[in-house]
Amino acid sequence: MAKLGLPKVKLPRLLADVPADVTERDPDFIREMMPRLWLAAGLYFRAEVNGLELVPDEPVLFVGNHSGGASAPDSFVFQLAYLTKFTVDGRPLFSLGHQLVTGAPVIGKYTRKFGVVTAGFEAAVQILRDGNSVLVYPGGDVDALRPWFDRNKITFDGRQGFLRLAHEAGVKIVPVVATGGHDTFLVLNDGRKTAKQLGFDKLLRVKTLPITLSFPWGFLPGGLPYIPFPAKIRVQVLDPIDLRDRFGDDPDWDEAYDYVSSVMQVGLAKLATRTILPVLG
Amino acid sequence: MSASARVTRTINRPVAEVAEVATDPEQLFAHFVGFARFVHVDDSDDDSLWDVFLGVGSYEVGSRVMLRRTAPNKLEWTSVRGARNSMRLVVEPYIDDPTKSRVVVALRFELQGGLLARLASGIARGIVERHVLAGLESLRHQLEYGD
Repeated sequence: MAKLGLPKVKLPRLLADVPADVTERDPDFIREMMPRLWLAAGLYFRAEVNGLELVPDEPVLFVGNHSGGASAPDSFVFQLAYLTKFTVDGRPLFSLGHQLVTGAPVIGKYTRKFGVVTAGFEAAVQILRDGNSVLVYPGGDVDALRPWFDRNKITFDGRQGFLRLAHEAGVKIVPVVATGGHDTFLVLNDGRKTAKQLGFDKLLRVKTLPITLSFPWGFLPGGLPYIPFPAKIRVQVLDPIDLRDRFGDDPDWDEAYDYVSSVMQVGLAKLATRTILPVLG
Repeated sequence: MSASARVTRTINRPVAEVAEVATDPEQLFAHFVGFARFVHVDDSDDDSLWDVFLGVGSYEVGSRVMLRRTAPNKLEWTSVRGARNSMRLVVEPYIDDPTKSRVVVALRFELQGGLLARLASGIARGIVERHVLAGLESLRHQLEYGD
């Protein structure tokens, strides 16, 4: 605010507190939704998910890159594939979501039924210790709204909480990379400076506010839910990483962060070679 | 008409260490898993012949190339049959940091025709750049982490 010459005021919090509550996950609702979501994933996005056989039969922390702003179609494609392979009741999968998602009117309720919980360290540790798996996108909105020319780049924005989470809960990290989500709309720039200058980082905990081109909004600052272009979505699960095995009981977090990011960057770049034309796949 | 693709990647290892791997065709091509074929055909003096084919969807595009290490940090190829193309890989020192290096790959290719060739070259450039970048990322990861 000060940067724009506006008086400094204490900004109100616009988001409702939605504590992580695993009991809100509704297996019956998920089972009911799966066929129609698969129809969308299969026909509209021609989704391909590979590597699920690499997932060990134990609680794991899935760490992914996601694209497509608020719609993030690659995230729902992966969750569908997981639920199909491991069944809805097999080993529940909880996704850590932004408060903006879990606390949103109407949509928030449905995402929570699908197993999305508000991101929080203690709650996530407990979910893993209870025998569930967790899906996290460390880059958050900065990742989901990165510029289109960075679509094949791992963007975690230096956030290392996921490493501490896996280490504390004693679970392996299973990296998941995805392409195509960023072809469902177009992000034209890096909007981190704009978000900061407008105070969005404090008001909404949104770190980026880029200019996007989407249907039906056209050009718009930020990433409201939109109707995605029918881009081909590819998801690849990579080999699990055991942090304790590789970095010991007291890891150098920077080193571990660089390693996991590097593994995922290699995986994402390889997956991107399968794209012949953006959107068409 | 001709078109070119240029990809650059920084690697956290000194030039000599990177150049040793990056200019050795056997070691380098092992990282380009997206390429459909890398087959060593023959050797003659300082040159070696390779078949280099890129997998594009359900078909393969490429050529037989004459490959030469022109300097300890440079690798070049020129096509001798098939699709006309040339490639130049250079490992450069990273500015102000001798522990890092920069790998630059420039690939030039020719397509016959007018508008369609222009369109095809645009598509081909994207495909080539993604494949080369994936190969360089794999090379970087191996040099930095030994995986």
